[in-house]
Amino acid sequence: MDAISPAILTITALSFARDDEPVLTDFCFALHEQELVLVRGLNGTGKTTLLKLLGGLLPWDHGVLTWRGTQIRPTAPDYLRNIGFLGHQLGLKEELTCAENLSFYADLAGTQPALRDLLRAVGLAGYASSLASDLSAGQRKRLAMARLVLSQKPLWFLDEPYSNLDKNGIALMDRLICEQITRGGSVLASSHGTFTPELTFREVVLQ
Amino acid sequence: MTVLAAIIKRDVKLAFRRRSELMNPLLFLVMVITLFPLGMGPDPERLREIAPAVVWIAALLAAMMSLSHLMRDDFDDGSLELIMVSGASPAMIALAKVAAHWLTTGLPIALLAPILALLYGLDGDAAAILGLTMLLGTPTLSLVGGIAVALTVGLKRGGMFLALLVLPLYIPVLIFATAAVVSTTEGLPAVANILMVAALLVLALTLAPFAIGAALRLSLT
Repeated sequence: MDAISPAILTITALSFARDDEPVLTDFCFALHEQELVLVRGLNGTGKTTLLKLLGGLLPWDHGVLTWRGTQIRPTAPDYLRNIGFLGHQLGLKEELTCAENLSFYADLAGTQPALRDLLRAVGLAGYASSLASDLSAGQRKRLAMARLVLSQKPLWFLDEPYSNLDKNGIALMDRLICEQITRGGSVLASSHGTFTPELTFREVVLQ
Repeated sequence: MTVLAAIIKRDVKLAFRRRSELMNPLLFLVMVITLFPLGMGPDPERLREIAPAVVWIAALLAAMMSLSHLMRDDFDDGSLELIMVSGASPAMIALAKVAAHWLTTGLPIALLAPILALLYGLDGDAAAILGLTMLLGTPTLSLVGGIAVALTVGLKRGGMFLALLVLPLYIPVLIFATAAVVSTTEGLPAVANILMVAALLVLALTLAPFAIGAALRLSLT
């Protein structure tokens, strides 16, 4: 990471409680351009919650979000349009083919990628016409990775990005993360295990 | 492609891939309308009299049956979260989901019901008015049902709660729509009742997408 790259995302004094039980209290954090940050912590420490809060999927109790120098609501479309999200649930429809699943998210993002090239890039060449229900768990994760790439968003939130992936899948995920950083994007990933991209990354530990 | 078109295109495609979801409300409608005369007896005058209420109630229940699929699958597989994170307006997302639901359930019901009503001896004019009230009323059912679905989608067993929320809100549509058909069978003008059904649609179309969008945000938490 370039030490002087500007912060694109800043969070100040973020607090969130679930059923009156504090999950995050006065949490402060900054993500810079072309930066890879790993949120580490044991189960239940709030890694997924943090990513959902940043994705506007959970309401903030307190805190200020700044996107590219402007204070903004976490649910503001101008902010959300910059986010690519990969969570535990992959958002794939079993009754649709791989190409149809990707096509929907491409339409949603307003992009027109070459879907077959994209599928080839994630190791699913020849699966364009296969139903998502016919894929293994690892292949579905790869399809979700293709969905993430096609959206061409500058900010990726990855929740346990290696789950369900074999050795090759993990290497692919590492490559996609490196490409995202090289393109000028930023990545915030959560993991409670090993994290292997061949890039320098900063760690944030949740207690 | 706009968010609206993208969601409608995907949901309609999904509905045709899940044939049973598409056919179940229609089969329910056919069964109720064809079985009812067997219980009531073959008196043509009596059947003609009850036709508007029977057909509309069957249509209303058939539309309600299909509501559970409106957002449940998107909620369960995570696509609802991803659609919300896309930056699209929640009201626009809601409108697209409801439009797709109406195209795959409300519209077929609205087209089939007047034909089935002919079995009850309704004349052409009354059947046409029934069809018109169905075309104006079923989108309201989808929109109002969408609010209840969005509020209950996060609940594990929200089925009964959904019915309790939805049925009272369906009653104005039922009253004015059946009154329009009854007026026609009695040779009276049906315009006022039809306009009331249309007004309910305008009201639902104006407010429901925002209510559904807000309820979806609440349910995702």
